[in-house]
Amino acid sequence: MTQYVAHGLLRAAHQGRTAERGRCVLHLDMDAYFASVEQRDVPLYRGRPLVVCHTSSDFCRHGVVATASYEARRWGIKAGMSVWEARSRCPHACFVHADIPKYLHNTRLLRRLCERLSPRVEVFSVDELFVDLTPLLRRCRPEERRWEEALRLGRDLKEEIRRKLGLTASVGIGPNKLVAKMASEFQKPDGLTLIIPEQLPGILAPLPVDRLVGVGERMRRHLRAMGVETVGDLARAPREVMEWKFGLVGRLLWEAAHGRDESPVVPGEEEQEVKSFGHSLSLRGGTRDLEYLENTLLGLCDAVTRRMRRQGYLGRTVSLRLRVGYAMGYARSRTLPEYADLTSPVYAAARDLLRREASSGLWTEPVTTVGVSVSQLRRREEGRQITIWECLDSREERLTAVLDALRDRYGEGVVTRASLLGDFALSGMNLAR
Amino acid sequence: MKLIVLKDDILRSLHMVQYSVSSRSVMPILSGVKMETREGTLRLSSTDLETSTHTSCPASVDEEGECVVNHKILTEITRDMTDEKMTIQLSGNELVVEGERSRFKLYTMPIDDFPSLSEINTPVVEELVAKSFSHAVQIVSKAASKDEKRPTLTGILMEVGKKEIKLVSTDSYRLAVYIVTNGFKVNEEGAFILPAAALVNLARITDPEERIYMKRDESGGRVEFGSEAFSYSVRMIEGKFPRYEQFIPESLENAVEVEKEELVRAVKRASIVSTTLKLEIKEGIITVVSESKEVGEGRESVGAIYDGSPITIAFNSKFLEDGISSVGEERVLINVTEPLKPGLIKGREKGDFQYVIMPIRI
Repeated sequence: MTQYVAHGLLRAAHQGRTAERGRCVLHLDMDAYFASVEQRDVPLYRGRPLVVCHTSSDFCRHGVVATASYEARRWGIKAGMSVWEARSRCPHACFVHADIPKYLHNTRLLRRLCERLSPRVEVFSVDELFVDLTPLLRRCRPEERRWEEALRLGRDLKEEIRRKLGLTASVGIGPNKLVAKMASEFQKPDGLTLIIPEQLPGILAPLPVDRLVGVGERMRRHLRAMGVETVGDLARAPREVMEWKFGLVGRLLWEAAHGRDESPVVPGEEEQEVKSFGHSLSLRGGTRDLEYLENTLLGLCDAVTRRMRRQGYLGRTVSLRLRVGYAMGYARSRTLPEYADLTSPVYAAARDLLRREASSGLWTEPVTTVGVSVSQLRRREEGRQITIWECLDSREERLTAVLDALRDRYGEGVVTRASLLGDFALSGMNLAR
Repeated sequence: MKLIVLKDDILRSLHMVQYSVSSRSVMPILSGVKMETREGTLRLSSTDLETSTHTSCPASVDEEGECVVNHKILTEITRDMTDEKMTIQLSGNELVVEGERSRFKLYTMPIDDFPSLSEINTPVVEELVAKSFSHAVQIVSKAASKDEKRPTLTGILMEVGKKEIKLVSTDSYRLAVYIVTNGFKVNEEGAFILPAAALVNLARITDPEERIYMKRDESGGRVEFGSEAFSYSVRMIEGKFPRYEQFIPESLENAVEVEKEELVRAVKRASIVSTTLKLEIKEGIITVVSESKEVGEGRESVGAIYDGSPITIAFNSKFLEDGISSVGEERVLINVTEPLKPGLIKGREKGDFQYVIMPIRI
């Protein structure tokens, strides 16, 4: 995540330059975000090592660590580590699935809290926000009072978050996004750090160069080869050399080393555009039983199309995701002739893909994960051209409408296919929403 | 081979065979035109393996022979010649094309590589007035699919019966049926799925005034259309054409009658705003409504004869325009029953054309 974020920041820094003087930006970084949310919601997890995993396995057997609580971090568990490794480091930790929709919802609440402070709020990632405080502080005189005021706002915001959301955050305040982000990293967790422009050279110069946003392992090696070890070294390097060697990134890094960053705080869209709907299921121990796989796939297609209908989307590209053994994962996809949101066209395509793969000879080991996703979406209200085939048989459409109405009223589990009553229902996937 | 031809004659023949010349370079020989002398004429042939065209043009032949040269180059040279007459002579593997002041040497292609397709002999239709057939093809081909993934839908179903010849096509959003009821003599009944694009090309090369025949080969894989001037053979599309009758609504209970040109113009204008058009049909009036979040909104009203209950139904503007403009009468009937049920477009008087159009769910 860090690397992606870093490049995003660099790119943004280049695109939207702002010449505003006397800026003041607040960076809010939630502490062990996913884990804190889970610990807040489930008392059992409090005070214990908790590992939130991105995994498709029911028992968090594989996949990667999304967030480790501070208790778990003491055992050396970090985000991005494989679940297997985390388990071997701390076998008694609690391992839970990441519930992304829950965290996103929480982020929305967080964003609303910040928006009460200033309308210029940028949701930078799921657990990071920038708030532009400049307009709030414009009337503060003299200059020093401004920073004091900013610190007070930061403290209040943290308190508000603790009170309303029951979470802690690290806050950094600085003259721009770059410095604010660095500041928030100085004290964690629950920190509040202010870096004013005058302090910048003193604070920045001794830092190792990889503390700069955008300097990863490779960049660090390149810079070391040039004799650049600290941010101060980088700032002293001639700008032309950096530009010549690394292009645009070089110049932006050089400016970052001086604590310069002109990228504005961009209030983002409320929600990101949905790109696809998908579900997958890990099969314990794996299977080669095609009938079993097809049945699982049918259940997944039911779940995916149900979600599409709930959110008013039609989709056209069906992708089948498979994992064979524990190493080889791959996907195959097919485009449907028409946009669809019913099970049968999606399932027919996914099943065809599955059958073809089953006969491909690629399955040297049992299939351990099967998943289906639908992409190339369009909104239902944009209208859907009906085909002549549909007027022959609209039974599935009518049946689906009735089932959807039932589920809306009595819950997802109220009705299910008889063929899915076995393992599939046990997996709980039929309740996915 | 040595012969003299009139420029206009050979140019007309070259244009006639152009639709079977393949532009793809997988097999270079398919970009060629085969020229051979036969009984005082010059016979030209081309094929892209799917279709093939033969035609001949009058020539004064001094020396018999045959060769294959690149069609495009020969056509361009011929078109730009200023002379009325051209001498064409083959020497070795060079074809020399000469006018009074110009002289071109074209390298020939290996004649043995030129594919020869089997003869097509079994007559299906002995004669058919080209004008009415071409007209039917032009109308029906609009509704044929362009999606290569479903090959049968890229074709036109041609049902040859003793009393009528039906042409049907559908791209699954609309279905067009055209019935030719006179001007033909059928030898054998049958149903054929033929590529719509090939039939359109056939309509282009036929002279409306002539009468054409249709034959099939024994294995049923290809059909040939032709007249004295040319012959054009097409490979049929394999597969089953959907049973189209089931899609055509039987009754016309809820039909609205409207003046064709007026409605076509209204639809055209409304479609500037959006490709999805809503038809609001009320007693005595049809309103064509187009709305777009980005552009704006348009409304067009057309007087109509209608006494049913008011109904609103949405269609794709192009499908609607294709359907209405294909009606060969001044007044059009549009039958709509429910917002999600198929609509039917036909002329008020005759039953020769029917167009089923599927609505858009909004």
